[in-house]
Amino acid sequence: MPGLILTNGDSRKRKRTDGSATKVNGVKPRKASKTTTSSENTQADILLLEEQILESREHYNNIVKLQSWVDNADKKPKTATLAAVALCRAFCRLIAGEHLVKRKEDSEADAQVVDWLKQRLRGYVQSLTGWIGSPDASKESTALTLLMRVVKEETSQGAKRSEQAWRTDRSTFYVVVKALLESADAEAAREEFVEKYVEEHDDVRFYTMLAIKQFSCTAEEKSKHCISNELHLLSKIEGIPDAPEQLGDWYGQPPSPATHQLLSLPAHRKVAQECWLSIFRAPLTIAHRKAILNIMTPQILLWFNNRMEILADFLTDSFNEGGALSLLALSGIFTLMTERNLDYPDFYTKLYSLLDEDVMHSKHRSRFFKLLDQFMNSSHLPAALVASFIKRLACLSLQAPPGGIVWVVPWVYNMLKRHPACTFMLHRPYHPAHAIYASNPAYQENGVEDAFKALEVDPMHTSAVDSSLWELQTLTEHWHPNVATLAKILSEQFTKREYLLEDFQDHSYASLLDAELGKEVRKVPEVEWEIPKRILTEEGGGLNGLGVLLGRAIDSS
Amino acid sequence: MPPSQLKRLKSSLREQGITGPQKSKKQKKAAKGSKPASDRIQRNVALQQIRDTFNPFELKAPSRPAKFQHANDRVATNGSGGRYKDVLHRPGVSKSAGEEMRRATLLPEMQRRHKVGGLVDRRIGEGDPGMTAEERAVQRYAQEKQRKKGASLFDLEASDDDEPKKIGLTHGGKNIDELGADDFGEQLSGAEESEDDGELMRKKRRRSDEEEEENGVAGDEVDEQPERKKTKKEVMEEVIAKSKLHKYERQQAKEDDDDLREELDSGTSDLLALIRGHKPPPPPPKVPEAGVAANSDEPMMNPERMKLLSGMDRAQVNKEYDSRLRQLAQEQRAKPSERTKTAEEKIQEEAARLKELEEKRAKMMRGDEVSDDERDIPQQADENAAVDQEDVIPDEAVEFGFTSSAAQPKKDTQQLVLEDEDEFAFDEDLIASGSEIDMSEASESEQDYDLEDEEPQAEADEEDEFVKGILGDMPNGAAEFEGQPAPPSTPGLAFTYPCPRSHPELLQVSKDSAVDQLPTIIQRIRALHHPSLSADNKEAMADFSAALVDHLSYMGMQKHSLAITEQVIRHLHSLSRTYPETIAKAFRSQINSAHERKDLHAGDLVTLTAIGSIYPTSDHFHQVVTPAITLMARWLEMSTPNSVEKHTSGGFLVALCLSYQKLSKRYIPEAIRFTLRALSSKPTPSGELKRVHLDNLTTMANLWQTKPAFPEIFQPFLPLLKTLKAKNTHQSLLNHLKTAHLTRRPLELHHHRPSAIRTSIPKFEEGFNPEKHYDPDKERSDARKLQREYKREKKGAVRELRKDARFIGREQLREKKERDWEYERKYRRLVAEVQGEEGKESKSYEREKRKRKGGR
Repeated sequence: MPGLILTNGDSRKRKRTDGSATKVNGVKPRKASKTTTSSENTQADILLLEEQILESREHYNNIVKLQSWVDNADKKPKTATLAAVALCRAFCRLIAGEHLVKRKEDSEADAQVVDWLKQRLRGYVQSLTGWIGSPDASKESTALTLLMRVVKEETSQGAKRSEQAWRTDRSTFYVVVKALLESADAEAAREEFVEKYVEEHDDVRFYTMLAIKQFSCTAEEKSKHCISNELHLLSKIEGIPDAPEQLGDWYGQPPSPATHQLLSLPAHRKVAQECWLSIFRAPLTIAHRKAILNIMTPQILLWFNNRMEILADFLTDSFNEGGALSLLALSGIFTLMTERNLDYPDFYTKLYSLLDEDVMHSKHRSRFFKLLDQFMNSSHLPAALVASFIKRLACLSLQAPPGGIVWVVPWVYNMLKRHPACTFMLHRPYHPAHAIYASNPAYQENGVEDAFKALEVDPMHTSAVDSSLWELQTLTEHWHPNVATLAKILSEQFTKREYLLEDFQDHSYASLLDAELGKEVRKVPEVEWEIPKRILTEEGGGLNGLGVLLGRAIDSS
Repeated sequence: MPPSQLKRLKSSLREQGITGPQKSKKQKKAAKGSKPASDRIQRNVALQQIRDTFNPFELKAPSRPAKFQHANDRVATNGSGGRYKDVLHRPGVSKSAGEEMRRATLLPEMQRRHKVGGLVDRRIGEGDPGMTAEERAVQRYAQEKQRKKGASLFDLEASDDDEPKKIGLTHGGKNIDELGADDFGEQLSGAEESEDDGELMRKKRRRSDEEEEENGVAGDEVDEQPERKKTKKEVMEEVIAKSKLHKYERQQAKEDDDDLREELDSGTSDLLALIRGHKPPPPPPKVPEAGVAANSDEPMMNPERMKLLSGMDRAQVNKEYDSRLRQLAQEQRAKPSERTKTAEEKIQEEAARLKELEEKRAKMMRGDEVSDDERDIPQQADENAAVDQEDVIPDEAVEFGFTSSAAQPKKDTQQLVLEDEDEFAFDEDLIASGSEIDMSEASESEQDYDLEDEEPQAEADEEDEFVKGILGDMPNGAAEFEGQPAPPSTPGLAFTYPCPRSHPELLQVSKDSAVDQLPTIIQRIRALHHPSLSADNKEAMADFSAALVDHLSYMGMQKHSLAITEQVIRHLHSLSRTYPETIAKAFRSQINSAHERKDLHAGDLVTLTAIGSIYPTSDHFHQVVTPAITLMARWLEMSTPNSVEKHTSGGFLVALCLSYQKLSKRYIPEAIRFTLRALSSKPTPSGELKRVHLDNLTTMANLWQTKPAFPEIFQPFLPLLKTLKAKNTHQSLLNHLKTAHLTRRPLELHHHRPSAIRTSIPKFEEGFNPEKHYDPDKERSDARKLQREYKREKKGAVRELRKDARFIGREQLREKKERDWEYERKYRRLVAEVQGEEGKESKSYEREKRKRKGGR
C-alpha cells in the first residue's frame, strides 16, 4: 500500500499527520489483536477514522488505513464492508466539498494532495469493482450501491465536470459498467443495476448505452461472455421512452440548457441504435442471435423507429443462419412488415423454404405452426401461394407424427374455407377448362400427372392449385383412429366456420397414450376369435420371418 | 218508446210469479201449508234479480282482475276455477257496508280516544261487528253449556242432580260399554237426546216461519236452514249396501233351502220304507256304498277317482284338476335328438360361422360399430366442459378424441372409475345369483348374441386342446397335444401346483423346472385350478393370467426360447377368452410402464407381439391394440437408426406394425419414415439389416398399393434404392408406381347435396292483443304482475284510509253540529226565559202603572 508521499516542506503539518497516522498505526495493531472478537470496537475505530478524515486533511492518511481494511475483505468481510461504507461516505463528502478539484489558485502542494486523493479514489473504486461478481450477493450489492453513490456525487458537480464524470473511460461510472460487462457471474449485479438505476433514470440509461458502445468498440479481445453480458444487461432494459416528455428522471446533474442532448429523444434513440449496432457487428453465436431475436419485437424494435433497414438486414442474416433462428427472424420480419410497413417481397418464399421435412419433427413444431398460422392469416393472399403451402404441408404430413397431422388437417380446413379457390384441390369434377384435365386428355386410361412441382422454390409457381390433396385423403386411413376420423372432415361438408387451432396444437404421442391409458377399460375387450397355431415358429420347426426378427431384436438388445 | 219503469216492474213481478191475481183465503191457507222452503229461496233470488235489472248502477263489473290473482293462480286453475270471476260488485251495497263497518269499529274507537279507564265488555262477540246477534247468542249459549259440563265432571255435589254420568272402565279413551255390540242402542239413545233439542228447535223455527209468512217479507238467509240433504254419494252407498244385504240374504235363504232339501233327500228312503211298511236293508259297507252311489249317478266313474272325490271337497278337487291340466300342458315334450350332420353340412356350417366372424371383424375395422367408450370420450369431456366452465368454449379437438391429459381433470376420471366399479359390482351380483354360467360365455353372449350357439362349442373344443388330458385321461391327452415337447413323463415335474397369483409367485413355482417345461406347468395349473372345479378358482385363474402377462415380458428379458414364448402366448390367448378384462388390463399396464420408461426393451417387444396375436388388430379402435401401436409408432418416430440394435429392433417393429395392419391396411407414416431413415443412414446398413428394411419396404408397397398418395409416399425411396443397388426392390417399386399412376384421378370428395339455406320464420301470435303482455320471460312477467298487484293493493289501502279520514271528519262535524245545536237550544231557552221574565215584569209594571193610574 503506498503511503502518503509528500515531499512538501510543510514539515510541521506533515509531522502531525504522520504522527497521527503512526499513532493510529501504533494503536491499531494492539487494538486489532484485541478487537478481532469485538466488532464494536472496530466499528468505533472506523467511525473515528472517518470523522478524522473529514475534520482536516491532516488525517487523510486514514484513507490508506481504511483502504487496507477494504482490501482485506477476504479475511474480515464485515470490517471490510464497514470500512468501504465509511470510505464511501468520506469520498462523497470530499467530492461534494470539491476537495478533489484542482483550482488555479491552489498551490502545488494542494494540487499534489488532490492528485493523491484522486489516486486513492481510483484505488478504492478499483477494489470495489473487484467485489462485483463475487458469490456473496450482499457484498456485491453493497459494492454496487457504494459505487453508484460515488457516481452520483461525481455527476452532480457541475455541468461540465459531471459530463466528464459520465463520459470519460476513466470515470467511476465507466469503470462500473465495464466491471458489470466483464465479470462473468454478475447476473444479480447487472439486474440490480438495471432495475435500480437504468430503469429509473434516463441519464443513466443514456450513458450506459454509450458506455456499452464504447466498451464494444475498444475491447478487441472481446470474449463470448462479454457479448452475453452485454445482451443480458440490454435485455433487462425495458422502459423505453417513446415521447420526449418521458425524459425527466435524472440521477446526476439535471441537464441545464434545453438543447442538451439528454433532453432529446432522437439522441437517446441514436445512442441506443449505435449500441445495438455495435452488438450486431460483433461475432454472434446462435445463442446470442436467439436471445436478440427473442427481445426483438418488444424491446429493440422500439429504438429503431426510423431505421428499419438495419434491423431487416440483421434479421435476414439471422434467417440465413438456418434452424430455429430462421423462424424467429421471420417472425421479426413479419412484425416489421405488418407494423412498420417494411417492404419485404421474399417473405413468403422464405417461409416456404422453411417447410422442409424436419419441421414436423422438430421441438418447435407447435411454435412454428402458431407463427405459420399467423403469417398465413390474411385472406388477401393469392390462392396459388396458399395452395402451395397446403400441398407442401400435406406432403410433409405423410411422414409426420400424429401430433403434426392433427394440426395440419384443421389448418388446411381453415385455409380452404378462407380461400375457396383452393377447394379444387379436394373436389375437381371433370371440366375441360381445368388445367389438369386439359393436360391429361386420356386421363381415364392413363391416369393424371400431378401438376405440383415439389422442387419449385417460389410458392407462386408450384401450380399446386391444379393438384389434389391425395395425401390427406390417404390419412383418412391413418393407424390412429382419432387421426383418421379427424382427416375425414375434409371429405365431409364444410359446415363449420373455423377450427380453433390452439386446441390441436399440443398433441403428442405422450398425450395420446396418457389419454388412452388414463381411462379405465369399461367394455370387455374383443379377443381374436381364432388362436393361431403358429405365431413365431414355422411348421417344420424353426422360426418364421417375424420370429427371426424378434429373436434378433431380443438378442441385440 | 219503452214502457215506464213502474209498468215494467209490475210486468216483471207478474212474470216471476211473485204477484198475481188476488187469492182467496182458502187458497192462501192451502198454499201456506204446502209451501216448501226452496220456493221461498227461489222467490228471493227472483226478487234480487228484478232489483238488479231495474237499477243498473247498483251493479258493477270488476274493472280489474281479481285480487291476489297471481298468488292464487294455482287455486283458480284447478277445479274451483274462477271463484272471483262471476262476482259482480255492488258499489252501493259495499259503500253502505263500509260505512256500517266504520260506524261499528271506528266510531267507538274515536269516541274512546283520549279517554282513560272505563268498562270493557268481554262478553262473546260484543266488540265484533262481523257477528250477528243470533250468532252471538248461539256461541254464548254453547259456552255456557260447556262451562256447565266441565264443571260437572268433577263436581261431586252437582253430579247427582244432573243426568247420570258414566264413570267406569274405558278402552282407547272410549267407554267400555260403548265398545261392544251395544253401540246400536247407544246410538239410539244419542239420537233421542238430540231429538229433544231438535224438537225444540224445530218448533221455534216453525213459529218464526209462520211469522214470516204472515208478514209476507222475504226472510233472511240466517233463519232459514233446511234440513241437510244427503249427498249423492251417501245415497249411493246406502243403496249399494242395501242391495248387497239383500243379495246375501237371498243366498242365505237358498242355502238354507238346499240344506233342507238334502236332509229331506237323505231321509227319503227311510220315509219311503215307512210308507211301504218294510225295513230298509242294513247299511252297506263303505265301498259298496260308493258303488251304489256310482250306480245312482248316470255316467260311470273311475272308482279310484271316486275315492279321491269322496274324501275332498268338490272345489278342491276342481282346483287340483286344473293344476294338473296346466302341468300337462306345460310339460316339455321329448325333443327329437339332433340329427348327426354330414361332413358337408359341417363344413358349410363352419364356413358360415367364419363368414359371420369375418363380417363382424370388417365392421369393427371400419369402426361402424363404434364401441361405447370411444363414443363416450367426447361426450363425457363435453359434459365436463359444460359443467366445469360453462362460458369457456369447448375444446374442439376433444370432438375427435384428442384429450390432452392435462385438460382432463383428474377428479372426473376418478368419478368415472367409481361409476364403473358400481356397474361392475352389479354385474357380478347378477352372475353370482344366476345359474352357473361361464364368465366367458356370458360376456361373449353380450356381444354376439347370434353366435351364441356355436361359439361356446368351438371355444370348448379349443380349450380342450389346452387343458385336455389332465382333466380326463392324462398321459394320453398331454401326449397328443401337438407342437409340445412330450411332457408327461418328465422327471422332477410335480403334478400339482399351487395357483400362482402374481408374477413372483409364478417365478417361485417354475424356478425348479427347466424353462422348456413352462407350458406343461401352465397346462397343469390350468387343469388343476379349472374354474369348473371350485368357485374360488375363477379369481385365482384371473390373477394367474395377469401374472402370465408379466411373465411374457420377463421371458423376453431373459431371452427364453421363442417356441416356448409362443406356447405361453397361445395359452394366454385361450385364457383371455375367459378373463378378457384382467388380461387386457395387465397388457395395458405393461404398455403404460413402457410408455413411462420412454423406451422399449426386449420384454416389451414380446408383449407387443403377443398383443398382435391375441387381439384383433384390424379394429378401428381397440383398448389394447391402439395404445400398443401408438407405443411402437412413438419409438419409430423418436429413435434414429444409428446403431445395429436400433436397426434390428426398428426393423422388427416396422414388420410387427405391418403385421398389425395386415388386414386393415392402415397407413403408418412412422414406418415409412423409419425405413427411409434406416436406408439412408450412414454408414449404410449391412447386408442382413438392409435386407430386413428392403423386405419391409416391399411389404409396405404391397400393403398400401391402393392408397391414393402412393406415389408421394414411395417416390423418395427410388434414388435411395438406386444408390443401395437393390435392383429387385427398385424394379418392383417402379412397377407399383406405374400402376399407381395409372389409377390416379383428381380428387372428387365433395359430391354432397348442397345444404339448404337456413330459414328462420318469425314467430307470429295468433289473435294478437296489444293490451296483453307477451313476455316470454316468465320470471319477469310474474314479477311485473306482482308489482302491479302490490301497487293496486297500496292504492286500495290509501283509499280506505282516506275514507276513514272522511268518516272521522264527518263524525266530528256531526258531533260539533250537535254540540252547537245543543248550545243554541240552551241559549234560546235562556233568552226565551229572560224575555219571558222580562215580559212578565214589564206586564206587571204596566199593570202597576195602570193600577196607579187607575188608582189615581
